[in-house]
Amino acid sequence: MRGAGLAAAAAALLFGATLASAAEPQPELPALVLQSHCDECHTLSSVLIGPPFIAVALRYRAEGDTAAEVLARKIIAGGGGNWGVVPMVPNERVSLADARTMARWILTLQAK
Amino acid sequence: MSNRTFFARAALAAFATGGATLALTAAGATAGRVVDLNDHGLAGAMVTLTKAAGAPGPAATTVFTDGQGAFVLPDSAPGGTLSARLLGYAEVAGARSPAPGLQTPLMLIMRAEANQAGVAPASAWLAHMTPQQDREQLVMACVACHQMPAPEVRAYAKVIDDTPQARSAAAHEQSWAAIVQQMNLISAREFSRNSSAPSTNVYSGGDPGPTAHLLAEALVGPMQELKGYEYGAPLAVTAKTVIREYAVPEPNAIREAITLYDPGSLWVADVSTNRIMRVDTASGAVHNIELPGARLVGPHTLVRGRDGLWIGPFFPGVISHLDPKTESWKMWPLAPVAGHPIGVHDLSFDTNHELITDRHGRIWFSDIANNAVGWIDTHSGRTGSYAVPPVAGRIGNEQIYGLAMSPDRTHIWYAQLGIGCFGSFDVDKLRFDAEVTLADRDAGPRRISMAEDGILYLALYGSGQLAAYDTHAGRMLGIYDLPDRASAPYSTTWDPRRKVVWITTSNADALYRFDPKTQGFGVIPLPRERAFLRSVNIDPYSGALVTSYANIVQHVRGPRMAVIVDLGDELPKVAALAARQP
Repeated sequence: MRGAGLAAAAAALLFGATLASAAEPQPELPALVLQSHCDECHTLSSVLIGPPFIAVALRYRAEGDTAAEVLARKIIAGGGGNWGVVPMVPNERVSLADARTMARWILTLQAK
Repeated sequence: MSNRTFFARAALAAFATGGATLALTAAGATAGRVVDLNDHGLAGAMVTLTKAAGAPGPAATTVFTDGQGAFVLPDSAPGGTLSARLLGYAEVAGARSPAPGLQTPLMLIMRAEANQAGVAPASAWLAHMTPQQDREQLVMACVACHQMPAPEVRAYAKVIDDTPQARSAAAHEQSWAAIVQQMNLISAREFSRNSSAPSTNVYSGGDPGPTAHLLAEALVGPMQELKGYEYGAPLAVTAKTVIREYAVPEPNAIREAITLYDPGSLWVADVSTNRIMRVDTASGAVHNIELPGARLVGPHTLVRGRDGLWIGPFFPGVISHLDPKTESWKMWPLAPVAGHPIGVHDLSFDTNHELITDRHGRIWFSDIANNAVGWIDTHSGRTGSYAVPPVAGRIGNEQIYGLAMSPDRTHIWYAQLGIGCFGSFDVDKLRFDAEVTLADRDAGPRRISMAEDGILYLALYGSGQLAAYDTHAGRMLGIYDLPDRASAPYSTTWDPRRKVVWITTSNADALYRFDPKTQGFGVIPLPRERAFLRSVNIDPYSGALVTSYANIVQHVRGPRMAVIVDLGDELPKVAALAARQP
């Protein structure tokens, strides 16, 4: 692990720059999304840790009328299935009402 | 009420619907028993009174049952709700005794419960992690900010376990790597709070791989059940021990809490803002005192001085002093060293844990940003800085951290958290002296303190041990395994009146006591999950232990409370200290 640690330190010189830009505020996101810390994994249109919100919108709009409710539940429960092997963290402290509000906002997003 | 027994007439007007929690409506002496379903008294149970909203006093008051399961809450305890906590037991839902209107002593009923999840501390989940070195690396990588595994970490482990696509070993590591990346992003934001420029300061070194590997190794399965955790040493509490927890308004990120020369006031550092909070220990009222100026300081380290409160910052470059009577500030900006801002961590203190200068009037400090020791003369404003020499074979990530001054004021001792080393600096000759290298690079010597006899006590965060080093003889007296090796001991504090060492833990929801004479440990369990401790101080009058649940950074969940542990050992009051009050 010590060798890996040294490698990590070297990698930090490269990765750090990427991380710093990702750490920049995302004022384009609604306050509720920021307060819920969604911006720690998602941006509007580029991959950070999770998929961009616009990609989520494209995926879930296909569900039709149930999309907002399913997405709201997914925000709270977490889990995988759409974006590779890494599941989303559960967000059990987010209320169902807030999750529905955020889900509805996500579903309004359009690809540019 | 004269017999200290609480009867139904005192106020059992309503019952909570869950557990053995009872609602009280009036303050007053409250006594009772904690029993199992066979009516046997349960010893060592924590009985916590959470005060009713709007009532004055601590947010929660906790006492311990005696050998027969009896407990007595202090006269001053406010009205509120009662609950009990004991390893290996759970409250019995719906239990209610006494019935309203009956002259029956108050009773809390618990049942044996093998599953300790939610009662045992986070450290319990790491008890069987091997090899030891992996556990050390995990503690060092993660517990600096939050307990590991915190409940939400365990929740994610369950999601991984439940997700079909994530069940391979590679997917496990990828999943945890995503979490490490998230933590890195949070830490970068945290260190950017005082700057318009994004920070690249990330805890895992930027590459999530090594930490993700450790997480995937340690956090396997749904993590819903835990059995067999024990404190590892006898309880160091009695039926007279009282723990008072004081909440402060959010948002906040309490770093440290201490008392000065007025036991009625707790002083609390809020690292998320530019304020110090004063908490009235009788009423619980919180008074905010803002640091002057627009510059974000983030009060971090608090040190009791005979002339008031000394404060080290989270963000580099300033030492502050608050006069508690006038609430007036003095601040000393520190010029960067060779262009690098000074990251003050610890200020020099004596065996009473009070700020002390060397014989030339200089306050010394550890400079974590430059891996240096430095000084400031607060009268002249002059400063000095001395980089710690490189340690052979352990270059990089040194992280100088704890600092203490020798009783003769000729040396400061410092710990280097990141490389398992500590050493001394001669403040008269201005040169480095001793250099001690622990066998284990990840041992993690963190905060340190020194006894009157020159014995230096070091909390070994990574390895879960206590080191005792004779600074006169220049030899290690012993490295002692703590009762819980995954406890992440953050600091030591020498107790000059009891002649023992107190050790805070970040991951075990407990305080440890070490007696140098017997070389034995005792445990003070704390009544709250995520009781992430950093420093502990001894109140100069009462001898009470003063600490805090220091869940920083701001994103970290968990309680943010100042805590006073009155051991109930009735130490004689120290009259001499009164003369030292400013």
